[in-house]
Amino acid sequence: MARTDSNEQVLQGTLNLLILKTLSLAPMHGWGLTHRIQELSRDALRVGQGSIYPALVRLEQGGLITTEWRTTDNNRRAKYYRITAAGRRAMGEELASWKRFVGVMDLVLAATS
Amino acid sequence: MRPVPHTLRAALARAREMVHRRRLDRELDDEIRFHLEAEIEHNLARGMSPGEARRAAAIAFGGVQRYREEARDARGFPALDAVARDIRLAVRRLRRAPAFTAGVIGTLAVGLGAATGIGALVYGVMLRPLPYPDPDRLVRISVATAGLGLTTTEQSSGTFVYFAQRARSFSALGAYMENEGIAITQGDTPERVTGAIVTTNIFDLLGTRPAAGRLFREGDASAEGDPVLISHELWQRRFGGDPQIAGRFIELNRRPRLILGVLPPGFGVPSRAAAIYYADRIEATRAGLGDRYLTVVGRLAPGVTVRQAQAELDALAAHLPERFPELSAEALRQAGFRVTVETLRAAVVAPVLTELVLLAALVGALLLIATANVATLALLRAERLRGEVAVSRALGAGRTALAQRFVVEGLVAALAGGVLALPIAALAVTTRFGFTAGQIPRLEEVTLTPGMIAGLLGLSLLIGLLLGLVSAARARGGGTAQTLRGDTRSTPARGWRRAQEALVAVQIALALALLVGAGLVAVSLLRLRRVDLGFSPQGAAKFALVLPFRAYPTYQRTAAFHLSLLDSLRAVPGVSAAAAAMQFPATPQLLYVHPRLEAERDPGRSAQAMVTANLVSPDFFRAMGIPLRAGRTFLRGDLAAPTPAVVLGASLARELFGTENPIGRQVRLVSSARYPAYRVVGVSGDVYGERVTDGVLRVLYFPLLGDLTPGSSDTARVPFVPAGMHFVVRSNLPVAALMPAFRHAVASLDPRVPIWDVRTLNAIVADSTARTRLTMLLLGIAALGTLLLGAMGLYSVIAYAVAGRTPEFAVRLALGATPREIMRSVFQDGAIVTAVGLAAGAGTSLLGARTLRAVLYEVSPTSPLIYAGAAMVVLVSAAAATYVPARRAGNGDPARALRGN
Repeated sequence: MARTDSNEQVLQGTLNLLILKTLSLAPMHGWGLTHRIQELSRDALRVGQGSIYPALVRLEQGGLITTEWRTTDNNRRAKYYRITAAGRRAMGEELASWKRFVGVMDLVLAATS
Repeated sequence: MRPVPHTLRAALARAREMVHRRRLDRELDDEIRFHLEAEIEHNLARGMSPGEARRAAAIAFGGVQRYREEARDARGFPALDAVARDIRLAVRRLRRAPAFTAGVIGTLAVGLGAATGIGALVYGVMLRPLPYPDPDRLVRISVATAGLGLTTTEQSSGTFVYFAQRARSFSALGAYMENEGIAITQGDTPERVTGAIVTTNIFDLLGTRPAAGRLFREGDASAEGDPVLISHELWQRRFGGDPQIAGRFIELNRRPRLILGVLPPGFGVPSRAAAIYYADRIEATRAGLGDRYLTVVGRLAPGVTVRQAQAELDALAAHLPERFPELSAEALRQAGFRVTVETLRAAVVAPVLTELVLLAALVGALLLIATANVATLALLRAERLRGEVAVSRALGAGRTALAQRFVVEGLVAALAGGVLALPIAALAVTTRFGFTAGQIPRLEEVTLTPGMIAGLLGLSLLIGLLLGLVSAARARGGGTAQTLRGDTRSTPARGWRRAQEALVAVQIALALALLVGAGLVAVSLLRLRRVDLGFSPQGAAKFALVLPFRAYPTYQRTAAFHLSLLDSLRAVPGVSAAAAAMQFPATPQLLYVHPRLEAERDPGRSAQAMVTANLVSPDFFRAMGIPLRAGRTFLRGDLAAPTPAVVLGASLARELFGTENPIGRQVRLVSSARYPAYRVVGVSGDVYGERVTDGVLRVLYFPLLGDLTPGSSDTARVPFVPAGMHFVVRSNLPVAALMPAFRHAVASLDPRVPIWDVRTLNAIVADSTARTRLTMLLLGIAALGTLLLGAMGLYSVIAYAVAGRTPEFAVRLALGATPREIMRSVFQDGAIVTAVGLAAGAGTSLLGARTLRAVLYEVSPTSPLIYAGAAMVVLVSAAAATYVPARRAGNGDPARALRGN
C-alpha cells in the first residue's frame, strides 16, 4: 500500500543528496543544476527538471543552502544556490545513510537471487 | 530526509518569507522563466527548430504549474506548516488503510461515546456536587432501625429536638420533610404541588441565598398566617418572575399565604419538586419509632470531625430512654436503633451506591476494551509497515521523525473517533437510555457538560498518543537490514505476539465478565417479571388526592368525601370497579404500625417488627384484583363495632397465627392503648412494596367506612385520618379518555381539590423494575460491545498469524499434512488465547458479581448455569472469529504459497 510513498521518498532522498553534492563543488543556478545532475545521473530527474525547484525551496528552508541573484555569463539575472556549512554536514550524513541503504540493497539482492 | 529548521534564524527567515510571499512568487516565476529560456537556447544550440526547442524545454521541465505550486507549498511558517503537512500526510496514509482506520475510529466512537454517555448519567444523577457553600461540613443525621424491618432513616420530632438541644458538635441542626398534599387553589384550576416543611434555620445552615425577597428567619414559624417561600420555578410560572413578589399572597389549600421570598433556581431540598415551603418550629411531640418523618441535617461546628460528632450522638442516644418512655432501652435494642452521622454527599450517594460502582466499572471496562482493541489494531498495522519503515530508516529517517509520523497518525485517527463519539454520547444523554424522568432520580438533569466533552476529546488524544507510540515502537523493532532482507510479513517477534494475545485475552475476559453480569441481571429481571405482584395491573389506573386538613379535619369528614367520590367514579360509564387506599402496592410505603396478638392463650405474642399499615375501602381487594384467602372484606358496621374489623395480608397472618385460623381472632397495636382491639375478618393475598427484591409486605388493613356519624367524637377507632388517598379505577377504556370524567367527579364534590399521580397500574409495575432494567440494559450493551470487539481482536490476531505462516502451512501441505490438521493447529492458537481469557474472566466475574447483589433477585451471583452460558457465547464467538482464518490456512494452495513470498 505504501509503494508510492517509499518511491517518492527514495527519489526525494536521492535528489537532495545529488543537489547538495553538486552544489558542494560550485554555486550554481537552477538550470545549471539540472544539467549537471543529469550528467551525473540520467534517471534522477526523469520525472521533470522542474522537480528540483520544490527540493531547492525545502533545502533552503532547512538552512542547507542559501541563494542570491547574480548575473550570468550571458548577462542575464539568475538565482544562484550555494551550500552552507549545515548543508555540508547534512550531506555527510546523507552519504553515510545512502551507503547504508546501498549496502542493505546488496544484501537484499544477494538474499533473493 | 526531511529538512527540519533548527535555528531561530531559519524560523525568522521563514517568517520573513511569509511577509514577502508575493515577492518570492514573482522571483520563482522569474527563475522558472529563466530556466525555460536557458533550456530553449540550449536546444536551439543543438540544432532544433524554435518550435521544437520550446516544446522539448516544456517537456523536460515537466508541469510548470505543478512544480510552481509544490515549490510554493514548501514555503510557509515553519512549525504550523510542518504540523499541517504531517496531518495531511497522516490523513492520506489513513485513507489508504481503510480497515485499520475504520476499526480505530469505530471502536473509539462507540467506546468513548458510550463511556461518556454513562459517565454523564453517573455524574448528573449521583456525583454532581451539592450546590451549597462548604459542602463537606454538611452532615446528615439518620436513625436506622434495622430490627423493625423499616428502611426509613428519618427521625421523629422527639429525637430531633432531643439531639438539637443537647449536641455540641454542630453549629446548627435543622430538619425538613416533604409534604405532598398542598394545593394551589387560586385561579381556575386547582394545582397540586409538592411542599416542604422546614425548620427556619435550614437555609442559613445550608448557605442558601434568596432569588427574591428573603428566606425564613427565627419567628416565622410562629408568625400569624403561616408565611411561605416559593420555588424559583413556581415564581416564574405563576408570577412571571415578579421582582416585587415579597408581600404578595398565594392561596394554598384555600387560605391566602403571605409570600416572603423565592428560593434560588434548582434548589433541591427536600427535592427539586418542592414548590412551597412552610416554616415549622418542630416540637418534641412524638418519639415513637414509627413516627419518623424528619430528615435531619447539620453543619459541623468548627474543628469538629464527623467521627467526633458520631461519638457525641452515640453518648446522647444512650440516655434517650430517660427522656422518652416509648424508647426504653429494651425497645431500642430490639429495634436495632442506631444514630449515624455522615456527610450529606455520602448520604445522597448511598442509596444508589451499587449502581454507581457498577456504572463506574462499566465505564472503566468500556475504555479498557476500546483501548485494548485499538492497541491490537495498531500493533498489527505497525507490523505490516515494518518493511516500509525499514526503507525509510535506511534512507536516513530519524527515530523522532518516525515516531512523529505514527503519533500524528494515531492522534488524527483517535481524535476523529473522539469527535464521532460526541453525537453518540449526546444521543445516549438525550434519549436517557430510554428511561423517563421519575424512574431514576435527577435523570432530567443529566447533560453533557463542556468539561465532559473536553475530557472525552482529551482522552481520545491520550489514546491516540499511546496508539502512535506503540506503533512506532513495534514498527522500529528488529534490525533494519534484517527486516529488509527477510520477509517483512513473517511471524512477528515473540514478545509482541504475546502482547497482542494478552490484549485479546483481556478483551475476552471482560466480555465474559460483562456477559455473566448481564446474564445474572437478565435472569433476575425475568424472575421479577414472573413474580405475581399480588394484584392484577391490566385495565386499571390510579390517581391520588389530598384533602386539606382545615376543611376535612376528621376521619368522618374525609371518609364521607372519599366514599361519595367512589360512588361518582362507579357511575362513570365504562368503570367496572373503584376503590380507595391510603397506601398503594408497588410504590413506597410510608405508614407503619406494630401489632400484637390479643389472645387468651398467648397474651404477649406480637409481630416481629413494624408492619405496613393501610386503610382501604371495602372494594379495594376486588378493584385491585387482590384475592381474599380467607374470610371476607369490610362491611358496613365493621368500624362502629366494639372491636373494629381488620384484614391481614397472608404473610402477616402466618407470622401472627401460624397455621391457626386467624378469622375472628383479635389484635392490638403495641404501646397504643388509645386504640381498641381489632377483630380479624379476612386474610388477603400478599402484595409487594416499592421493590420486589425487598420481599412481600406484611400488611394490616384498616377499613374506610362511613359508619361513624359526622358529629361523633369517637375518632380514635383507627390510627389514621385518611386525608391523602389513592384511587384505583378498573375499566376497559383507556385512562386518558376517563380522566376528564374523574376530574369532573372530584370537582363536583370540591372544585379546589387537585388530583395527581395519574398512572396505569401497568406503568407502576414497569416503574418498579426500572432500576433492574437500567442495570441490565447498560450491562447488556457493554457485554455485546465487548464480545464483538473481543471477537474482532481475536480474528485480527489469528488472521495475521495465519498470513505470516502461509509458507509454513504450504510446506506442511506439500509434505502431506491434511487441511484439517492445518486448521486444527490454527484453532489451537485461538483456543489457548480464549482459554486464558475465559479463566481470567471467570475470576473477574466472581469478584464483580458481588457488587450486583443489590439488583439481583432469586439468582445466585455464582450461578454455574449463567457462567456456563456466558462462556458458551464467548466460545462460539471465538470459534467463529478463528474459523475464517483457519479455513484460509487449510485451503492454501501449496504451490502458490511457496512461489510467492
